[in-house]
Amino acid sequence: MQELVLIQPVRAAEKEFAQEAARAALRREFEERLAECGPLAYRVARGVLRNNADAEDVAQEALLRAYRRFERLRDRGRFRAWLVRIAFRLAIDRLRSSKRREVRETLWSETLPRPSTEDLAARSEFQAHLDRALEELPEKHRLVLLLGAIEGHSLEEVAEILSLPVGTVKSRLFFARKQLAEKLRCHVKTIEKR
Amino acid sequence: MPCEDYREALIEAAAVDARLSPALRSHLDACAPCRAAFVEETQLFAAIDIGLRTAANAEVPASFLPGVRASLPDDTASQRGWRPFLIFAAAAVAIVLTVLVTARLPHTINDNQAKQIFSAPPREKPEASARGEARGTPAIVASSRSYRMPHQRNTAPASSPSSNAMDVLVPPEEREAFARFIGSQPGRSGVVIAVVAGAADNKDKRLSVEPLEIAELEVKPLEALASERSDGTYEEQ
Repeated sequence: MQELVLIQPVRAAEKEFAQEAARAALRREFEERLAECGPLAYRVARGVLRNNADAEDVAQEALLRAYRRFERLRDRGRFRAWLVRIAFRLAIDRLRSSKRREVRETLWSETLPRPSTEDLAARSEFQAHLDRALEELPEKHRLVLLLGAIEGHSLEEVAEILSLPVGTVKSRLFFARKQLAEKLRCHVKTIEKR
Repeated sequence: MPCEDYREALIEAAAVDARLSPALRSHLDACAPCRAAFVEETQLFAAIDIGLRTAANAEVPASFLPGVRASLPDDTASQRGWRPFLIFAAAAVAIVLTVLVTARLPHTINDNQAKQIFSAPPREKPEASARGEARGTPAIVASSRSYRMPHQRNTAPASSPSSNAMDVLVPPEEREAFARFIGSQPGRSGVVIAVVAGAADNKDKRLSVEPLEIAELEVKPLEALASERSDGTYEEQ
């Protein structure tokens, strides 16, 4: 048996128009957040990866992911913290995969291009040691250090971004710096050379 | 080498960059190795902080934000792009399902059992049926097959009891009324088409329209264009 169903095209068009307007508003809101928090995502990625091109890739991917899930984010005030976590997680993943790739390639080929003397000279020796020491830190300490080092971030802001009590952030920061100091103490002489 | 008792206190003081305790300050004033160690520790932590800030505050490339903006997917366009495809897919699935269901409908009723030959009631118009048979007009066959099965209904009953029989679809409860109707049509023995639909039981039911199905017309050669009536007049058929 066939049934006749009355379709109201005007109402459907109105609904579609409203949906389109909502999507446009959402995009506008995201673009505002992008201008505000995009650089932070880049800096977090750059802080982990120490490479501009990789950092740009990772930050872009983090922002795209954030955009796709933006509609489902209930508390838009948490966007900054949410984005930092996405960017940090992606950067850590990228770092690990590039290290795995490096190890694999080293196993298969001993004729890999080594960093040139110019490259090595370009980076200060102490900075290289610091990068290495940072990679060995636990992730939770590394993120606190990174966010604390980004200009304009007070302890309270870092605590807010990470949804942690200020006391926890303080203690993590203290232990992270102490761990770094222990790893780098033998390189104090290089500081004096600089 | 700093004094072992003050070693940890010196590191912690350098790490937190806080004001020194009076006890530590007086010791540093008195102990040169500890003073040197404290300066070294302070330099180390300062170097760590500078290194962290350098790494963390790298300049964002000018092309970064415009690049991200350009790569944001246009949801509106993508959803519009999907909509026609979804409609097409849904229509295709509906057509395939309809074909499959129609092809697999079981023939629940045997044609031979279902068919009943009706003739006009003799008590009402005995001469009409007699005349019709005498003239070789087709008998009317009422089938109880559902009129919702068009492919069954339209098949010509080649092996039916009478090759002259015509299929007319009549719901079982209306067969008697239909037979009376046939009997009341003395002069029209050619083709009878009846479209029967059940009356709506409930007025509040949703409006539904049965697909109009018309049985295939079977055209028979007329034996005589006109036949003479008993009273001598001519009647067109």
